[in-house]
Amino acid sequence: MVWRQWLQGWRGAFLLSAFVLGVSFIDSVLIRPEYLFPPYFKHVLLICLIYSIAALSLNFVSGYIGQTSLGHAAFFGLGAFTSALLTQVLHWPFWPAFLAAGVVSAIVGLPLGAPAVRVRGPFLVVVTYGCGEVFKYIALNLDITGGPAGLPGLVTPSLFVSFNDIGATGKEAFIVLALVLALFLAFFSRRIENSRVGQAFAAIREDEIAASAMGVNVTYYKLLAFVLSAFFAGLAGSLLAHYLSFVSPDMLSSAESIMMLTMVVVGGARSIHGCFLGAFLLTILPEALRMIKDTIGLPFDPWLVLFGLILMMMMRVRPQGILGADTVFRR
Amino acid sequence: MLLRTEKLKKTFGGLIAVNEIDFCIEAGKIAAIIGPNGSGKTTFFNVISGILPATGGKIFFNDQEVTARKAHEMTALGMARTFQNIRLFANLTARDNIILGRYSQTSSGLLDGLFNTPRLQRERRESEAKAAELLAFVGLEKVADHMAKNLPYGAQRRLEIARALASEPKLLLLDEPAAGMNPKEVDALLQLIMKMKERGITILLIEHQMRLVMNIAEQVTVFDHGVKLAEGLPADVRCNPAVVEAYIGSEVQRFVKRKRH
Amino acid sequence: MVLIQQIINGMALGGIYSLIAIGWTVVFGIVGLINWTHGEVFMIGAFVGFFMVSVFKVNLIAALIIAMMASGLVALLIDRLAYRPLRTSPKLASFITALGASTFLRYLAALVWEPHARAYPATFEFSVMHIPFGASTLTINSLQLFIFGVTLVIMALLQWFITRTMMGKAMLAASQDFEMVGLMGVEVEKLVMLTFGVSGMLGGAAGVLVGVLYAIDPMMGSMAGLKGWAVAVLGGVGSISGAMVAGLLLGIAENVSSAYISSGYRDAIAFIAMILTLIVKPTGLMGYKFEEKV
Repeated sequence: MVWRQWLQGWRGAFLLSAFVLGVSFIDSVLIRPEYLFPPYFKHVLLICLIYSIAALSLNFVSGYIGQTSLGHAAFFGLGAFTSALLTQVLHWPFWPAFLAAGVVSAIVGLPLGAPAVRVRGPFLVVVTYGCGEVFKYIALNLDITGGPAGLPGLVTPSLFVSFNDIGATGKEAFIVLALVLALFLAFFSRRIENSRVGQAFAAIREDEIAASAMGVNVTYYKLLAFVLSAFFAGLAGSLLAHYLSFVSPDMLSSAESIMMLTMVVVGGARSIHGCFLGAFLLTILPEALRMIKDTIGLPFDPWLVLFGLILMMMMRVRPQGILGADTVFRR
Repeated sequence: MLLRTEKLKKTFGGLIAVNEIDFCIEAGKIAAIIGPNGSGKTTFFNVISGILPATGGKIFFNDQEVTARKAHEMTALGMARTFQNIRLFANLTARDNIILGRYSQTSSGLLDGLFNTPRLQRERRESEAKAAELLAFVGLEKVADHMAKNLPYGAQRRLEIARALASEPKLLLLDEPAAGMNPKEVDALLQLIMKMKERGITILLIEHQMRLVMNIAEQVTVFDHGVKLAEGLPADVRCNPAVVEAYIGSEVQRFVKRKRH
Repeated sequence: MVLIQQIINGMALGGIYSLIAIGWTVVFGIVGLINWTHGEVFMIGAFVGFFMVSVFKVNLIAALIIAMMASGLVALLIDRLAYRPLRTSPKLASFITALGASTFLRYLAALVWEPHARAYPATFEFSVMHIPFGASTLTINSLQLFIFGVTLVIMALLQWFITRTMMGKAMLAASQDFEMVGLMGVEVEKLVMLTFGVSGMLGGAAGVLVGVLYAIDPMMGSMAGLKGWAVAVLGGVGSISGAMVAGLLLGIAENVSSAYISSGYRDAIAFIAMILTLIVKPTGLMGYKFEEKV
């Protein structure tokens, strides 16, 4: 696939940035009575970027070391709750809370990664799922997390000026932050693929026993993958929470975890482009369907039924994902 | 003594797979372990290479006690191995398999990866050069970019040896390297083993093909039901009545079983 | 006192968990697949039973049997259409397919049957018994007794099937060692079909029993299904007797914990127990070893 080669590295990053920044700021440049891109459009774009971060972070576990995780939303939600509580209860400013969200997620990811060392394959799926569920119940039942209602009214981040005052709709600064984070994560992932850490990940994915016979400390690298994964998921969760100015236990739900895993799988596991593609597709499709539904006046929302069908078809036709290939750890 | 075990024991539940084995191998030698199926040879390998923990006894490598060491630590200390049922990284190329074999000889970490440091670049160059050399050493330079799973059986065996060599081992454990090979491939393997010996690598192998064992081994140890039955020069072991008993006995049993089915 | 009462309350629910868990465990034991659609099969059973009782006015036992048949058929169809084409693909592909099929069925049911909750019509009167016990009395609802009785009968039938019939024995053997059965010359695909059928029937029965006890809705499969899997892991995957024991234990543990700790964490108990089991003793209470040969 020539176009994929062409989109490698800086060129792809540049095109994505040009698109995202163009969409974000064209309305600020052209002063017109109506928006060229309505706020709703920008909202969807931001959600796409945040899920791209989530998918890229899950890719460390489900792509590189090949462990299926159904609990990724737990880290995502944990980051959201951490920065929500830090800013609301301890009155931290956004930035340190944002960073702390990643760190707390990563610290919790450590014991959650521990089962992955002993448990593998189908059992890991249910352990990660179970962990996610347990987190959800904790968030639902604690007073400090606001119970089922969650925590509303989170602070809006600011960098010299409040994010709300930047750009035409107040979403632009969030979009830029998400873009920067997503691109950094993509760059980081690519660098890891080409490093000795990436070699160790590939070895573990292929054959754990042979990997340990090569001198790879399987426990260490599995934990590393979980910690990296949790850290970036925590950042993404925090970003979403402060954008929505609201966090609820729904962010931790297994439906979210399943969606994140399918983003990675549909896009193509271990493919950085695939993670972006999966996240964009699975965020835009339901929105588009809802629009179609509203226009033609369908009495129900067909998205989830269709989603199930798409997954089944996908596994039949292209189980490695749209952009997935049997890639090796070097170029 | 490069490797020495003292009353090494391994049990699985009630089954004693390896029973108080005292074993040693001198540096620079080629030694072989033979014995009927299920006599504990592979388990012995798995325990000394750190893949399975020992139940009792001690292991010394290079005069250092290594009983509780894990597999990855043993590799770093200079012990490499191949597997009875070939365990290559199936979806990686032959070259990448060998580069992974170099893992214990490299040291760059996460931050080296992020910043693509000179150290990482130097290690990458060295690994590629080493991989090219080893591919040539085992005669696989033409298939360097083929995926391991697509290689023919004999080539996979050789690739696994090359991958083990990449870690620059002092001691190389080969678990049935000639299994499933035709006579021509066995000859090539024989030469390969001699070439490795010339490089100064000590070799311990498990093998069923007597021709190979009798030709190259300088020391033969016979296992039966987890215990050491005999040890010595190939010619002596071959004539040892207990060994003949164990082998013939098991052959007879196998024959009788086959008749009964 | 409260404890004994809660144990009694937990038994009926526990029996239902056992039924669901056996359905998971036999399929995993034989096909090596986490059959994520099992919860949906359970839900379909509950709805079929509901329509039988409320629309066709069949009695409860007949409705139970019809629902079991329907669920068994659905499970067979899922295997035929979704899993069988992927038998030789990587496990992840089958698992994602299972996720997809589960989502599809769940939301299709929500479209067709509407997402609101329904209760089974009261077909016959259930009485409440008070048994003096020491200083106080124990309350036993005859509905609970009925459900527990039905569960016991189904389990007894299953036990008979796997220990006395040829196909049942083959199924039990296969759930412990699939490769061996292939060597013995049992037609593997037939066995897989049988397994899905049995698994579906057990799921359907559990669905009807849950419907009688509580209420039903199209989303009910997600939690009950996953708890079933947790129970299967707890009992030791592949072990039918383990699933029976672990189901009862979970039912009781849930009731006791909601009485003593907090009812909010009731649903989390299953997952906490499962995670601890897997970390401490990966083979579960009575599991077989799924160990990799080096």
